[in-house]
Amino acid sequence: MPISGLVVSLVSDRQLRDEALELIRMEPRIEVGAMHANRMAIVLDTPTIDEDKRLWCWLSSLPGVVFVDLAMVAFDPADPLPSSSQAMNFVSADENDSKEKLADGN
Amino acid sequence: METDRRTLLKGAAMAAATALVSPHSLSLPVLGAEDLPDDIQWNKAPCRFCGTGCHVQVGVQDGRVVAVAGDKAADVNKGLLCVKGYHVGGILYGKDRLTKPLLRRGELFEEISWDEAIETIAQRIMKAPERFAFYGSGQWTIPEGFAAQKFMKGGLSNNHIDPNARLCMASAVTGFLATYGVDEPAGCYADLDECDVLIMWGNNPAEMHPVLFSRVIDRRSKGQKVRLIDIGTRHTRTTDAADDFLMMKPHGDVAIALGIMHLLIANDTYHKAFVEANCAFRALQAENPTLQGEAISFDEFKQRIAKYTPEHVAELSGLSVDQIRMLGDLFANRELKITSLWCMGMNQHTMGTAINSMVHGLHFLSGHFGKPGDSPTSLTGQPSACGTVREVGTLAHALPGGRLIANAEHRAQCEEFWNLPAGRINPTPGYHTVKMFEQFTMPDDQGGDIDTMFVQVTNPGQSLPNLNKLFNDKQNLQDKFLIVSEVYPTATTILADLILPAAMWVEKNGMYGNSERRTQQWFKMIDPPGDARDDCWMTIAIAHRLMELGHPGMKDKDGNFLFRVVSEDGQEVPIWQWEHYYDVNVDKALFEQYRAFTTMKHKNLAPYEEYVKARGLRWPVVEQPDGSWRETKFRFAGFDDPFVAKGREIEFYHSTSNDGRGQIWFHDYQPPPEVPDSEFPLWLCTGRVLEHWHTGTMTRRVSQLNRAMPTAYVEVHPDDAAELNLRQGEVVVVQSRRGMAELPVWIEGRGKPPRGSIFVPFFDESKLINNVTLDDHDPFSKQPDYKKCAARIVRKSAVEVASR
Repeated sequence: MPISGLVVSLVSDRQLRDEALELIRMEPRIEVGAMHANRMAIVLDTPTIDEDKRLWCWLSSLPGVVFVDLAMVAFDPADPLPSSSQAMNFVSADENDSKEKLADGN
Repeated sequence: METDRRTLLKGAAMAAATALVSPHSLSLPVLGAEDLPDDIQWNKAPCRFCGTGCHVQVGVQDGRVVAVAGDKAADVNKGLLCVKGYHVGGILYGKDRLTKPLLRRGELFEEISWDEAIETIAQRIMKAPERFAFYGSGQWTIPEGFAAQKFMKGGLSNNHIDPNARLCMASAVTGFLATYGVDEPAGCYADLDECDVLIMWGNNPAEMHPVLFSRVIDRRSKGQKVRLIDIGTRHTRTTDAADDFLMMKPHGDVAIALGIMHLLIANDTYHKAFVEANCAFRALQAENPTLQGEAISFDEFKQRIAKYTPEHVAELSGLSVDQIRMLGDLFANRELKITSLWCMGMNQHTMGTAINSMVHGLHFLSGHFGKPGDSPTSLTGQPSACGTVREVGTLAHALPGGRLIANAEHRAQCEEFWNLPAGRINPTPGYHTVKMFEQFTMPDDQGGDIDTMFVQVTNPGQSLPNLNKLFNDKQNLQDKFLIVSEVYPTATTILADLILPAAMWVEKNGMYGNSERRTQQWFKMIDPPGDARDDCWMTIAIAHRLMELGHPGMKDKDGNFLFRVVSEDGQEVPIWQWEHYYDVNVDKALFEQYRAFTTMKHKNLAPYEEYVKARGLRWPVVEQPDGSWRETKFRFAGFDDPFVAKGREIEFYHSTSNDGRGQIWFHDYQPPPEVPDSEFPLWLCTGRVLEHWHTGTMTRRVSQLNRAMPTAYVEVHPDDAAELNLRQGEVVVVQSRRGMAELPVWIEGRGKPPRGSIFVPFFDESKLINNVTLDDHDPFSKQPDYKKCAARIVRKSAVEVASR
């Protein structure tokens, strides 16, 4: 269940910017924070990494959005992650256990 | 996830985002401000990662780093940090920090004492000093690099010292030298705040230098107009923000630069006054070409470049004729301020010196030079690639302060500065990185004349190209001995014979030099874990043991130890003994010695204490009549550079033509050394990702970063995936003529390569894409091309069937 702190940079065009703002504010998985100039802080709260990525892509595709910066990402330890290093024999035992349970991304 | 924890994380995520939105808000610690006790000690340090040189405030409590905040007083980042910077404190606390010296005994490692480790190394070197090599990086601090340099060239009379930076920015160096006669950018990051047009040549700053990119995006947010042009071989996050995306063929940049220069001359729109006053023309000699080349006339330049018509360049580069003409018109427009930005795309290139030189030349020819915002600016990937490698000169052919091994006068100057007997420095350049590893992985009886190698602060077992040729062959050679100083187990320590546990970042004093000529300083804030020690101490301890064993090079001409440091009362401090290493500030002693080398190339540095007070200073730093020290933002420009003759607007005072002129180079387009064919039909490009730095040995220990980007992948175009019947996430084998790597497929991923191209990041040590890459390199810089080679994708099931 990832949580992402993002910064959305909006276009200067007022109409496009307002349309993007309205869409973002209507999205229940997004919490809107402070805004300064055309930059706005938001938090995404989604049940899966895939959904987090899809929401990010949706944000980036809005005509009123210029860019999306990442400020912080937090994941629950129980999140299903894609497989990481099999050669990382230095990772802790509990991390190894969780990684062994994972498929190779498919 | 518990509700409380989730709420806390959401609060932290919002605080992180808010800090990025408002530069005037409180800087953000990794912990929420409300969680921080009052007794945290804060101190400044540059970030440990890339060459941007952001400053952080590091919070220490009870001997442990507990918080990191962006430094609002820092001009580079003004309190902002990228996602790696916010988590930089976490790199200290991976569970598998190396804490004891480890000596290989067969398949196992045995803990040994530091005395035994130093003795082992000294005996190896003493046996055959000329067969020893030292490999470092732009992660060496300036004093560490200076000590390594003095130990090798001034002590052992051995020039086999080279850095990982050879693989990162050597072509930028040769490009600057060929053009200006002296290395490093004329401009600085202020160009990003002033330019009207930012052209990114094979560059993805949105992910690789995100704080710098945010400076530009922030201008747009304030309503300023800045046009972003992305010239690249794949769609990236930078492309998302660009006004123009010019998708070029691999190697197309050379043709594009030639095409723009052709248009400026053909249309008579080049800046005649600038060129006549400040420039000369150069080309390679027909036989035995050199970095300095030979002078050619303007008419000859015009004649040679005539064939690079928009139509011809379109064919070579993949751009349209209209796109090439658009670029020609932009450079012809004197009203605009144009900044060019590049990093590995132009440097990791078999024509790296050529394309670097020609982008500088393009700015000269069009007169887009010498004003804030009008500048060709190259970036570096490592935190002190400039400070330690380019300025201290930790390269096989170089000496400190821009001097060269091959120059007798330069050698004599260094011998005098170091108080060495005349002739101590060997006049033959040592092995560059690729050659050094070739010699190390070649059996003695076949001519492999490097037997012992000491690797500090880098990870060649993952970052070298063509690993099967340049690194993995070491495994079966009994007569080779690899010493690795590291903080964590890596792909390099796997083949090490001796592993030394190293202190890192704020566990030691340090100084870095960033991409804009800014020299930065920090103090040790916490102790390293276990028996981990400073890299600089290791070098000094080895030198002292060699002196005890009778190596004559470890003494100066007065018979004193090469690294003699005295206390305020004039007594020698035994800094080779760890318990006394911090009795004095060794960094300060080495830096003050190094300062004397810097004036010859007008890279003057201030005294150490000035850097203690500042968030870095950009050289040349020159003392003013009132005793203060003034930094320089814009070199070679009369309005700012104190070394430009009075009355001149521009002066290239290290001109290779000795007349104050910069060189506009002509290089003919040459095809890449390997291109896709029927057997290997895809272009392979490699690089980094936002969340991980370099080979990932530090950032993969930070759980937030590792979880955000846990594995390398291969980006594939949807049509290629359909043709090969590949599914999203399916693990495939990427093969070249040199090796293979298994990777999950990412279709329509973060980056989007065009049809016929694939991209793989190199941060993941379990998926070594450098088994696949090419070790062909630029003839002058010796920098390999990691950005293009021929590869193919094979389904795992097909490989398994074939191997039965």
